[in-house]
Amino acid sequence: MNQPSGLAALLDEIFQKIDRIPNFPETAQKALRLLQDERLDFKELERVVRHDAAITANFLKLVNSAAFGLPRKVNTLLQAFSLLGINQIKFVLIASCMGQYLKEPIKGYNLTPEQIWTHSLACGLMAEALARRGGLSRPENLFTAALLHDIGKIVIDLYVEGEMENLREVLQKNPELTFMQAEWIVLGADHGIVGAELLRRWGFPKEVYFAVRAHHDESLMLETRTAALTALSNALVNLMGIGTGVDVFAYHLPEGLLEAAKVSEKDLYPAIVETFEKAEAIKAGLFA
Amino acid sequence: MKVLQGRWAVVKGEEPLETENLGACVALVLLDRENEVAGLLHYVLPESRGLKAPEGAPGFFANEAIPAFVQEFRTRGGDPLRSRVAVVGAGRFKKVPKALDLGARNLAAARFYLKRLGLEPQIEKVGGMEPRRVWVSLREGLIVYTFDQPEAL
Repeated sequence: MNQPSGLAALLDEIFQKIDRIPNFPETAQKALRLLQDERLDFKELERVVRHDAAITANFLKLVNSAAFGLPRKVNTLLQAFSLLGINQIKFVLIASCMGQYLKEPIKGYNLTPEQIWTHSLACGLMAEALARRGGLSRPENLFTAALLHDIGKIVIDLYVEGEMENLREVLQKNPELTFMQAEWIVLGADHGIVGAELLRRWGFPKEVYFAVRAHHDESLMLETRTAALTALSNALVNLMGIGTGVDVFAYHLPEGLLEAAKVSEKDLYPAIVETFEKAEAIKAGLFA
Repeated sequence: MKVLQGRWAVVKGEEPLETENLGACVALVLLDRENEVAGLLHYVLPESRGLKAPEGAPGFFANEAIPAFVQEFRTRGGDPLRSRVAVVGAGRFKKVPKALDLGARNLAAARFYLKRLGLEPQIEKVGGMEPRRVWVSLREGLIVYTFDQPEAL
């Protein structure tokens, strides 16, 4: 029998050791499947989503923040669905699910739950702003990748527990290394590849988990537009100082990232301002 | 008092002012011990390029924020020309295309607009890939945290 070796064996070991990672909520999986159908029935979608009280509560909190610009406060899922576009429903649905993975600090990366949620939401908002300006017509996988790009940090933090200090030590002794290289030296994998593996196991499309895999890899991030936009969104949100951890700038960004993302330099400042405004509105709603 | 992105605060007395991690943003500190006035500005981008600052964040763009912040510092009784001036932040990726080097542009903006107002920073703790944040009070002075390690400056 073939035994997995190298990275595959390590990923198996990580995911076997960790029994605290919840599955991606079945409710959300079902809802995302329904959202792929062009003849979507909002009543059926509502029946599926309302089964999960936590997702429903987060969904209503998020859509009632000024970031989504609804003309009035909504009290039910059905009201919200009728006022949002399909892409916005997907965005809010995935963002609503993220809350359950972000209840504890990610100590190794020096992040509080509020910081990583704010950072992830801001990346999703930035991806949306950049995609719209770049004329991307079907960006739904991009939002998922941008919102979930750092989910591997949660897995790694559970796996290595207190050993993250080694990472910081390696970086301080070898300042020429990137954080990704330090992760490989200490852990044998980086949070991008671990997050991608989690999303693959959860059944997300390859476009999503490849972008997550690539978001700190200066070669891979240039291979698809979704990967480039995910990496660019993360970089811009780090530059804005939103929910940043110890690894904030310890990476390489390649020449050609804007070209691969098909984003013009003149669109960067407007996207930053828009993301800031929306992230502030969401923060006010979620953490007030 | 936390001074978030795009805001500034000027206090008379000992209330401490602080930022969260700055990213490529810049924290501009004015500390006038004689008149007991402290100020902290936390801006995000070097210039507005015709954009409007986000609501509630008048300190978002350096070109608008630095003159307005210095003016408020004066109005509250501080003398910028006799103050300690510090510039902190402007972080940068290890390797970065020019278009995404906001830290370098933010730092250049701080130097440019301060010079126009006759001010020169005595302290610059800028650039690099380390996460930095600022804490300042009249009594204890300026403390810059790098990787959460405090350094009194």
